[in-house]
Amino acid sequence: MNQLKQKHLFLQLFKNAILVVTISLLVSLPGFAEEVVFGANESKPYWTSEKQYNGMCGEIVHAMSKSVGLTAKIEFSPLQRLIDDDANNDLGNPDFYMKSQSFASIIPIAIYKASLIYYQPHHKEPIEIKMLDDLKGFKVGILKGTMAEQSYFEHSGIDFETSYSQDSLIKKMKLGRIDLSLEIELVAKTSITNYFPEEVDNFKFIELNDADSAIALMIAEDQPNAMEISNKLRSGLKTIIENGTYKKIVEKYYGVGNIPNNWFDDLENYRLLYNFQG
Amino acid sequence: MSLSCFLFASDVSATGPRITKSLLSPNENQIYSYDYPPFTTTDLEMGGMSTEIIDAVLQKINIDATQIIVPLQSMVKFYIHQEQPLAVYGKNLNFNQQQKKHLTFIPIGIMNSQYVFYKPAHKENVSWNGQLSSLAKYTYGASNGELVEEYKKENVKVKYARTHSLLKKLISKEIDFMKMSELNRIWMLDKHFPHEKSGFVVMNNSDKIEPVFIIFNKKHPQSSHIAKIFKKGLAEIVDSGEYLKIIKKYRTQKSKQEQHMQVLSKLLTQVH
Repeated sequence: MNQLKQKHLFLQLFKNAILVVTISLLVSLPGFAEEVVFGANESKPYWTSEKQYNGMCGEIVHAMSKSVGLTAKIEFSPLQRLIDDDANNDLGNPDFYMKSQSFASIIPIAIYKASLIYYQPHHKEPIEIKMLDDLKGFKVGILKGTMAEQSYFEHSGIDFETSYSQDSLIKKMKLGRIDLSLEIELVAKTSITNYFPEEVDNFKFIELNDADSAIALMIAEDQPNAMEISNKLRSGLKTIIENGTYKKIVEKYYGVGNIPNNWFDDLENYRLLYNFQG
Repeated sequence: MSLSCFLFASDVSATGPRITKSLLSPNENQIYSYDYPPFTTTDLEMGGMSTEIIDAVLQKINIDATQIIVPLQSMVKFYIHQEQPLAVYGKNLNFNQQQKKHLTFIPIGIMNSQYVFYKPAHKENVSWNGQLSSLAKYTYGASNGELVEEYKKENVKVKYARTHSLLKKLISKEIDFMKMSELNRIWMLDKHFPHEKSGFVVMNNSDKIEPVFIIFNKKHPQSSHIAKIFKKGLAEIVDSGEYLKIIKKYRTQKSKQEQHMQVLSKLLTQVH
């Protein structure tokens, strides 16, 4: 009887051990990796819910997460809702979120830059813009809502026209309804390629002073294991930069050999800026 | 023509254009401050009380400069240590003695700092007798980057966060008290905690006047000259009444306006 009990107990322990090993194996598989949920808002081609990998930065986030055994889930919401939620992990420009939320870590993953653009065939001479006053005499297209401090610009004597989308600004410029457009460089290039593929060279980009910003991944203080996850993600970013995956993703959107100058230096500068302890 | 301006964010997309006047102002004279309403903030058209004062002085002395408001105090410190701005704005920003050798401090105003607690979270009053040791059983909510040695020395537990988070932590009892400027408290509670604001109580006699400065960076080539004329320009707008006109927009109590002007005058006589 006693032997029977021992045998039963042994079998039970063996079954439990098998169960534990099976669960451990399953959890270590990609499909069962620890999931980290982020909030982003639709900003093509950087973040989009439409494509499989969620756009350029979505691809970066998924690749860096995967390389360290994490799974990133990106949920899309309007920007104001993301800002109001001060307990979630966010994706985008940290300056939008930092006023109302404390983060365990901010990890810059890419750079974006604003430019002034014009359609050359409508202008006899190349346009040079170095300061605000140089915009006088032109009709300048901007995205609706981007000019929070309207009175300053209203009194500047510059003629602005707003649109709801960057695509619309490009189309208006081609039609001659606006002279210049202030847009995110990569977004504008994507629109031009989509709508006017044979006229890409006719759209000219004017570089602006201090026009770059960071796109970052922000881990909330309330995220369980925030520091551990942050360290893993930093390590994941390093891995994909070193093994070439990162470059491949960025070049998919910018074109091979077209990653903007100083990209990696800027990324490092933003890393220092958002983590400065001096 | 003088041109002073500040940076602001769009509300369209978290990876969208941030249209700033500095984009179109190739200005070598940059002045960084951090968002601390209503002193310096992108939430107000004119950038807040201190931004307006600095702007008024720059116009008076005919100096072109760009005021840039960033979200965090640590970012202001990054810029002054890593880049070569003309100046930064803030309280003392915890510079060490070595760093201070390269900086010129000119007071441009004051803040009334006070200890605040959340009454519904405490059956008893959290009272201040002038000694931190009396608060040893409580947890202090410090702003990121704040020096907290004096609290730790008196065994006061410390937790760090940003102002908005600290206020939430007072409600959730994760911290027991925090330090805020009076104007900032009124602004933050009106804007973010309108239903709970009556529960936030200032500890008796905890009012402390702290000067705020424009801090010129001696490594900037124009800094010595501009700092010198800035001080004169500030005195001129104080004498002309322009300064008082600005602070009246933000400080509604006459006694507080008088206190502000008296303390500033005294501070200015101490600047050499």
